[in-house]
Amino acid sequence: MLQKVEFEDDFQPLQEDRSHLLQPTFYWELFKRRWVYFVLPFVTILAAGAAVALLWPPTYVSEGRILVQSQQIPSELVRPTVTSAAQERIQAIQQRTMTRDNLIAIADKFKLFPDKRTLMSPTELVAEVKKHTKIAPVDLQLDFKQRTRAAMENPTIVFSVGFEYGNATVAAQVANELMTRILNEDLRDRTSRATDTTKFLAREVQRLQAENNALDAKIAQLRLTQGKPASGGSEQPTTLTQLKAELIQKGALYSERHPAIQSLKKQIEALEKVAAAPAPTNDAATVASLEALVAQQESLQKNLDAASAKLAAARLGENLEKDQQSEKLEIIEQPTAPQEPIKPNRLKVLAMAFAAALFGGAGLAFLVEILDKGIRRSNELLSVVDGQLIISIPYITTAAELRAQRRRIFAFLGVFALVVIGLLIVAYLFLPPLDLLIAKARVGLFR
Amino acid sequence: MSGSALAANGPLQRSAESPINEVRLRADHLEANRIVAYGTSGPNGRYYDMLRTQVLQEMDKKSWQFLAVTSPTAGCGKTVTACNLALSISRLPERSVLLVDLDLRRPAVGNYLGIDGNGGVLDVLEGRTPLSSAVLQASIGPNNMLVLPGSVSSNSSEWMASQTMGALLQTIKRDFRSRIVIFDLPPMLLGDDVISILPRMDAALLVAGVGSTTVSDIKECQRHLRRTTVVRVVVNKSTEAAGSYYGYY
Repeated sequence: MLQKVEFEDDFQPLQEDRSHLLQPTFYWELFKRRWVYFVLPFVTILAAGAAVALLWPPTYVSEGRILVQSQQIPSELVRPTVTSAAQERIQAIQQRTMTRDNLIAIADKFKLFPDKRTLMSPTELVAEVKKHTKIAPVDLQLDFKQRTRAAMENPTIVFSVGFEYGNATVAAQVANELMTRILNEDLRDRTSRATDTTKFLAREVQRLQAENNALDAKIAQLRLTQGKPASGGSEQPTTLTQLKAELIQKGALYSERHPAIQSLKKQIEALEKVAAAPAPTNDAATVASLEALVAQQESLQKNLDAASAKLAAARLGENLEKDQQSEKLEIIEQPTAPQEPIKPNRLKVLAMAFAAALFGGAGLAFLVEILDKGIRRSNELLSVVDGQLIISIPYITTAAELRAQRRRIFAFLGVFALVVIGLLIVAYLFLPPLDLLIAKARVGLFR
Repeated sequence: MSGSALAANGPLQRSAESPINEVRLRADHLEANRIVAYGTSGPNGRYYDMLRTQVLQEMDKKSWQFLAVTSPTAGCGKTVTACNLALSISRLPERSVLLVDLDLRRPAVGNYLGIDGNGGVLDVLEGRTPLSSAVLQASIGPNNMLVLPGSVSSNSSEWMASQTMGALLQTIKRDFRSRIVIFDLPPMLLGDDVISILPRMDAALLVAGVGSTTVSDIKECQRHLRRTTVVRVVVNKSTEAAGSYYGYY
């Protein structure tokens, strides 16, 4: 009778012996046992991976570069009308260019994604084109000298506009189109913004002028009613003469359209009209209101002067933008049709497939091993059978098996030798001479 | 084919009037079937010599004669173990052995040893052949052993439990008193054959095959072996580094 007979399953397994896990022979035995489970997924996954690596359609990327140039005329002389951080500008440009209409127009113009086009809704198409468009700032390595304050405040930046596509020529065409649209968009945008500023200021000046004119008229009228009886007509011509002298004086400085000139002219006109009119009553109240009006007019005049100055500056700025003298976009590199695809990295895909195949094979082999409850070592019976009863007998290899094994080894060695010889022949025939190869490798290694 | 008919065959006489059929075993055939414990055996045979010594010690202590060789399931190497053990015992000068193939489902001893067995154990059970003429003397080199080859029966289970089988075993016990009798039984867990015949055995040898036997198989076998002494549990086809000290010889 077995000396260890416990028919309840609640026996405690003895301290499990795991020493075999440290021995390489254990893994070699495992491989010999399960190599089919290793090789099958390995070959399958590797073949699939190799097929993917070879058949994956290539993607070309064509990229151009746009330089955002800061204002060339010193900003102390002319202040730019349009100022915003360059990064922000690029984003704005990107958003404005990548509109739905723009993208659909581009897709239609170059007949992008011909095989998918019919199946895609416009939204999907837009998303697809967007996905393939790459607009990104290019990091410029500024050296120390260039890190001046001005450069830090208004750095010169470069951004790249690229398009990924299965066809190199089309990719270049689309990238070109995108760049053109970006440049146009930018020009239109900044001129329109500059014009907007000018228009606003011009309206403001007009409004102030109108107000000023109204005040002028009022003042003139008040002066007339108050001045005539008090000074007995003697003061009136004095004022008129004074004004006329001032007009001549200022006329030398300012143009006809200048608000000061116009205001003087209107005052003179009003006074001349009043001179003919009947004398108004004169009292303290009119004097006070006249003084208040004059004060009001003075402050208004100041505002008007300031607004006029601003308008002039804005006009200058607008011209600057129109002539593209201020910050501007400049193409520094035209997109060209690329020679090599950027995707896929076939070697990388192959390496990944190899790793996956290795893991898949090992995984399956280990899984099968774990699921297999068959005993492998006599130790495993120690939990149910007295160790003294166990006797281990090795697998008996017959002479025929040994012969077959030897034949397999010889066959393997032969195939291996043939492969090596074949590779050598191929290398001899197709590879450049050895010194050239070494030189190439050096360039590759120490680039 | 009653018990009396069987008994009527009389004790086996190794005399001139009923000579035992002799068969010479071929070394290359044995080797190809992993039967290695003949002659001055090679390294593999030593494992069987070790097993033989241990088994015989156990059996001699209780003066047992019948050893059942079985395994949990098929393919564990039970027949190979039985043949090797028998050959190993036959090499001992004062010992003699009878190997009986009682696997009536898939008898294999004849094939492994290279004996064209006509009849065999079923003929004896059915009374067609006397035991004395069914037993063969298989010899290789200077050593020889007796073999009772098996044959296929459709109702193996019934035979195992039958009175006839009991009578046959009685006859064997009487006629081969001086011999160790090794029975190659069917796998334990594939039917009730072994369970039926185990009470008539003195001891059992359980052969577990590496890779094909599980711990739960062994536990299942233990349930059936409650009343039979298991002299050894053979872990067959082992690949573990089985103690390099064997290489010392």
